Amino acid sequence: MSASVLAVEGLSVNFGGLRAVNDVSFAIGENEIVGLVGPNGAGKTTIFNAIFGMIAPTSGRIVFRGRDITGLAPERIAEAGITRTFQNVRLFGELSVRENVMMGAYNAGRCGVIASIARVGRHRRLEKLAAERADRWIARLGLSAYANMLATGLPLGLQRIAEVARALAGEPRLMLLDEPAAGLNEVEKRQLADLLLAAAAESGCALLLVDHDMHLVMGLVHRVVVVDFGRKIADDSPAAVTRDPAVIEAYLGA
Amino acid sequence: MNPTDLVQTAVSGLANGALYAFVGLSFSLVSRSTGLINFAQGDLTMLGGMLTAVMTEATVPLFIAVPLAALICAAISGGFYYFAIRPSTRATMSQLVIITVGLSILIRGAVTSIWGTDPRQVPPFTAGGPIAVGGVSILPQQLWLIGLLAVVAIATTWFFRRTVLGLALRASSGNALGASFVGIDNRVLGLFAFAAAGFLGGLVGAVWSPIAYAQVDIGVGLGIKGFTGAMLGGLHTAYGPLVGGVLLGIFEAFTAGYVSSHYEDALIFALLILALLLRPQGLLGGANSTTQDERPEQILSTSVRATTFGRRDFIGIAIGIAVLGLIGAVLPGVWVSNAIFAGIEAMAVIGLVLLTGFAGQLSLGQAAFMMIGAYASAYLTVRSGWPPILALMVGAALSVVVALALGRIIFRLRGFYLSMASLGLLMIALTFAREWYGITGGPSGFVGIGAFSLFGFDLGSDTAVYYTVATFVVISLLFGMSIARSRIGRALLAIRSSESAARACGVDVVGLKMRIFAFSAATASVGGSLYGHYLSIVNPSPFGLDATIQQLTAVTVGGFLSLWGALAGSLLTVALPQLIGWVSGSVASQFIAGIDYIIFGLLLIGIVMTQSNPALHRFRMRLSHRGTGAAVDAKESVRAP
Amino acid sequence: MLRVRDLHVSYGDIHALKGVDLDVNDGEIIAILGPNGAGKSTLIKAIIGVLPKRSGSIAFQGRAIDATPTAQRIRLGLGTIPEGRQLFPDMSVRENLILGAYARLGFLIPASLDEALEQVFGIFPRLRERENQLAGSLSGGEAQMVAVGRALMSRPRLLLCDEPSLGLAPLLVREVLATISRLLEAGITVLLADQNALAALRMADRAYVLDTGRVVASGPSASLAKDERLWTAYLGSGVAARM
Repeated sequence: MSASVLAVEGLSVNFGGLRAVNDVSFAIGENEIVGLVGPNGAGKTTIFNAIFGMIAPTSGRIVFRGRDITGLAPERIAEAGITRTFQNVRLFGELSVRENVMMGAYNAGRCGVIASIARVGRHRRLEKLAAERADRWIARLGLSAYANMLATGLPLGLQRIAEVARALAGEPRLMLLDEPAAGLNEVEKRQLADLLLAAAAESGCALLLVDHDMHLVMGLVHRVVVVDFGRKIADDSPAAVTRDPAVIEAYLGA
Repeated sequence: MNPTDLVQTAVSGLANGALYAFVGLSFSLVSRSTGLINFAQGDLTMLGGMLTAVMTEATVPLFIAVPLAALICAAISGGFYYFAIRPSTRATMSQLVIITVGLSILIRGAVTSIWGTDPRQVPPFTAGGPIAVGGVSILPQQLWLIGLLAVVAIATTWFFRRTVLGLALRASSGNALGASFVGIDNRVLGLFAFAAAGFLGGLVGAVWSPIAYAQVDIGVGLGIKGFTGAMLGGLHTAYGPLVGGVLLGIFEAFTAGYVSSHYEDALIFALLILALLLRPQGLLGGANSTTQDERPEQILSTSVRATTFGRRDFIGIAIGIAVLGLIGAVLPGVWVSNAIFAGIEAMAVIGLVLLTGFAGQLSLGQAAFMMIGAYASAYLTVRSGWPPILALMVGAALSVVVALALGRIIFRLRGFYLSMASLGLLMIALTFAREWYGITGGPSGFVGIGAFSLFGFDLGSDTAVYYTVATFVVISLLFGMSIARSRIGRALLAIRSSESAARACGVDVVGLKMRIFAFSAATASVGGSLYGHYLSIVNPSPFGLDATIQQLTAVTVGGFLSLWGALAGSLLTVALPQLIGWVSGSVASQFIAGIDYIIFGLLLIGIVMTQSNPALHRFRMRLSHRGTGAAVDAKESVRAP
Repeated sequence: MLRVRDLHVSYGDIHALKGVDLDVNDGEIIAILGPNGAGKSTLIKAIIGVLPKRSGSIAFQGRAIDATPTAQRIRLGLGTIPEGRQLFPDMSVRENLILGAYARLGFLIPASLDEALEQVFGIFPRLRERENQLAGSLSGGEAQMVAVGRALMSRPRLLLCDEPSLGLAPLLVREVLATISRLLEAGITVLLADQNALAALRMADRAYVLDTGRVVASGPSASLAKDERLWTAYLGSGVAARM
């Protein structure tokens, strides 16, 4: 697949003596929405963390837009154009919603302490860029009414949306979503799913979605990668995956 | 060196090592049960010695005095946990560490006020001179200490293997959540650990006191050495603190005997920094023991804090400059010098607001950078005849280099290593200031520093100094504000909340912490330079731990996240001792020196406790929301759009 | 035996349980079902007392235990196999098991504890072989045995199992569930929270379905299992629905 944004090639991760991820390979195409699913403890989070540089893979490569990003620090990966959300929402508590989303655009360029003190042109440009992106995504995701409130003062549903806005403000080519629907009710889930679809289409970024909620995942994604016991057991369209005997076995344990 | 000497050195090292082992074990107990570094540990040991000294002077027999001293220390330590730490449920680790710094000062203050600062002698437990064994002479008291170490080592093994409480302590330090599922109450463990640490500290202080003297000043050094030993051996292992403490004692004896008796302290703290660099989990620690859960800092804001310049900032700065200008013109003579000292302190505190407040990194070593600035200015202007402004800049550059180097080591590690390592840095700096006569002039200091001058204008009068300092303060404030009101300020507050989320946004967390540490070092250094020029003399004494305490109190009083608060806090902490001095007038000065400590200690403990008490927090939130709008209501009523 | 009324629990900003009612009778197996994040683990943590409640009441054997510390609840007869097992990785299997009895121990470890240990080893002979091995070095299945054994050490009358099948191979899941069934014959009542709805429903007498902190359905397992609407809306896996 020449148009792939991300290619995970033969990824393995060991913890102590335990092989948490075992030779997993998959790719994500431009603008593609891919679900990464599997039972609890199957290795989803580990794969996720390995892609984002939170843990070092034991072997294998991660290639993002033709560039090997294996072993890069998370901040470098963010600069390369991958952003993420967190399972247990991690908004910045001292900052307003707008400032949180502005932080998302931090990866747009480097500008050090001295440059900030001196207010060089680069700093002004980056600040302007961050403000523009923040305002755009806040308006787009319907957060305008809360823009100037402390982010952690919002209800959970809105916090999740604010976190998505923050990830989008980084103008990613790929956004990783770690259980974006956890803790949301049905109505909120549907709204979030709609927002995600629209935002991904608008910004032209691919999505990799990790969730237990098969219902949400199946309705949202183009393709599903299923892992169990650290191995990939299926990689296909949602419809095909639900018919796959290996998947059924993994999920039902029978 | 002949074998007898070697053995002799090892034996005396072993005795001191026993002391460090005990203190390290106390650190370890508290850290394993609560995750805290208890800064008062050394002072509890000091208190054990003091109490024994005072009681034996009052002819209380030793066999009563020693256990009683240990029990009193246990009660103080346990009571402190129960009344100050346990209720502060919203406090983050760095705030809890600040509370323990408060206790440390409180103990020092109380001991100073009641018994003074003079050393006190304690009679040895068994009479008689040194015992000679094959040319090696041992004091009976050293034998007592080594014997006690053996007893405690055995008791520790027994405790951690055979008692339910010991198992529970290990379980809880390995997996606190799992421990709560089997019914282990972490608060009970915390109480036990603090009480036991107090007991052990007090006991070893009592047994050690006949070898040296009991004196109020020894607490801090003992604390750092005990901690260093524990870190060397492995803070979170069963025997690491004991092994590390003994090794440290022997290392110290050999460096003093064969390398340099002047720089032994500096070498020990260098060892601490080296240990943090090479093996933060300790000699006996497993490979994974440094992994830590992310612990977000407590949210201090009750309303949105600006991270871009607004009109209010410009008005604030204008008013600030006007007020500072006016004060210089109208302030009576005596107060001008206080204002100068406050300004110099504010230089250090402004950096701390960004480092400790914004980025959540607790540093106790700002005074080390003040010292670097002060001595650089003194040396370069007096010896080399440099213009003061150039010397000041070189000092700041030197401080930046030191901060970057130390930061590189420290910030790779998560946790509270910076607080201990920066304290170690301060101790190294103090050692050099006292011992490196060629550069620093030793304890009596460097004299004859000229007044600060710029482009040939001598700025020596108090008023001129005031305006010079005020100018530098305003510049630092503007710099600090430019950082706070920028993407960097936002990034620092982000680090404070969640390092992993900040990194996911592209923030180079380690690099940014290093740079902010360097910035805080630079402002402190400039403050130090100005201090030297103002007093025309630089010696180590004003840069000791008292300076750190004052700065920490100023940041705490100022509210951690406010640069204006830094100014206000500096003013208050400079003015307070003066006011106390006036009010108490003729009372003995030792009593007053103690009262200063007590008040600073109470301020630290009180402010952090009020910030982190859940009931009081809710109250503050309600107050602030009444003022700024209906955010709380929004939270209850708003659902997703 | 256990009676929960209008239980609200929140941690941080998340209002995780919003008024849960639950009854467990003597000798029953009760399943708690629902998608991830529905509040299953929170409910179990609140019952054992690891999380404080915000409001509502919990009574065990007719006695209000809302304000009772965890250790006391365990002494009254509650036991947990927590989510993710939560063993003590750097302690031996034996020590892990001993700590299961923590709530009823004094200062020293009594010799009489050997009897209880023998009982656990009787159920899981593999653990006897691993007695002095560190819990952190065990395989997933063995670790799960330690978790079950640790819970048994407190001699519970009501066992709260949170995702006992988590991360286990299907074969082991069956083994664990079989053990739980055996426990029932030994007179222990079981409250089983599991994402694996089908397997849990097969075992349980009755079940409660949670979603975002509320009970959205409850009743006998057989009737819940037939409710197509429930499967598609809450029991998540569309895969399971097709089975």
